[in-house]
Amino acid sequence: MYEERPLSILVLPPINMTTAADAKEYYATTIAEPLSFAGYYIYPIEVTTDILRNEGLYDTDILEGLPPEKFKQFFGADAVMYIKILKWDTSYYVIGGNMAVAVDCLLKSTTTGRDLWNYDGTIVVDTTGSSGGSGGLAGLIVQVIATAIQTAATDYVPIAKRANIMTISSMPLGKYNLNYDKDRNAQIILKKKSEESVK
Amino acid sequence: MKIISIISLILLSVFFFAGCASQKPMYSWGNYSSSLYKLKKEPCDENLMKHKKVLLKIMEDSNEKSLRVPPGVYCEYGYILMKEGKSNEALSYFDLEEKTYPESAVFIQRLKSQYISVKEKP
Repeated sequence: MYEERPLSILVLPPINMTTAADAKEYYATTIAEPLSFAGYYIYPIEVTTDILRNEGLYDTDILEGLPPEKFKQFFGADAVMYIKILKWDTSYYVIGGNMAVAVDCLLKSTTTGRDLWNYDGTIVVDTTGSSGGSGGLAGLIVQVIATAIQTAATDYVPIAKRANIMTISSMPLGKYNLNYDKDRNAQIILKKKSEESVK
Repeated sequence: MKIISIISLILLSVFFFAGCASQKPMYSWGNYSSSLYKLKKEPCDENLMKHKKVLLKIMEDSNEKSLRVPPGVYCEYGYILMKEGKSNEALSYFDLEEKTYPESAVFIQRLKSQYISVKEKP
């Protein structure tokens, strides 16, 4: 990731592997924001999805089978992001005041076809905004943001947004972020700090 | 004890935010994801109008706070205008996107050529 320095990211329509019909839209509409804050140029997902659809490339299986280099030719993108939504547990949300989202995000280089960054995990988003039970870096992020966004129980957009923020926080920063290239050690320091807070 | 926890919380937040942004936020995204979500769930003229307003508001707010307009916003707005047949206006927004983010050039050129080929059809 630090070797290739991708600058622009094309986010493909997420593949929804859950039974929650809305998960795809929730995810697709909230991903651009945290990615942009990480410092990357993000192609407007609405527009690129439309263009791909016009080219007969909406089917996510076909997209997955395409060589990543195609996206460089077509959009000029340095990297392409494949997202699989594995779990979108809303029932848990209603009962426990938490929501479990599992995603598999894969960032591939359009130059070499190599995997640049991969996030594969379950994020438990605390929807009550009071306790920081999830611990570690994720818990810390929830605590900081949770108090700011407390919305109606039916609105999943802020929750999807938080899940995205938590996912992206493990990704190296891009050019438009002021801390571009200064973040190589940041993850380690953050970890240290959160350990301190436990004491 | 309480004071200590408050102080540590402040320190933590300062530290956390120092990591992702200095004094001011990088971008102002307004209500982007909410209005876009509503539009996708219920694609009707009313929701499209609302989303267009949100996009315009993002541009206004960003200019006011002298922030860069977030990536894709000019382009998305231009694309909606293009679909509405307001091609000249659309092109000016595509140009703004390319000017703000030079790495969008290939993509913007493709959009423009697509628009021209659509236009040339009878």
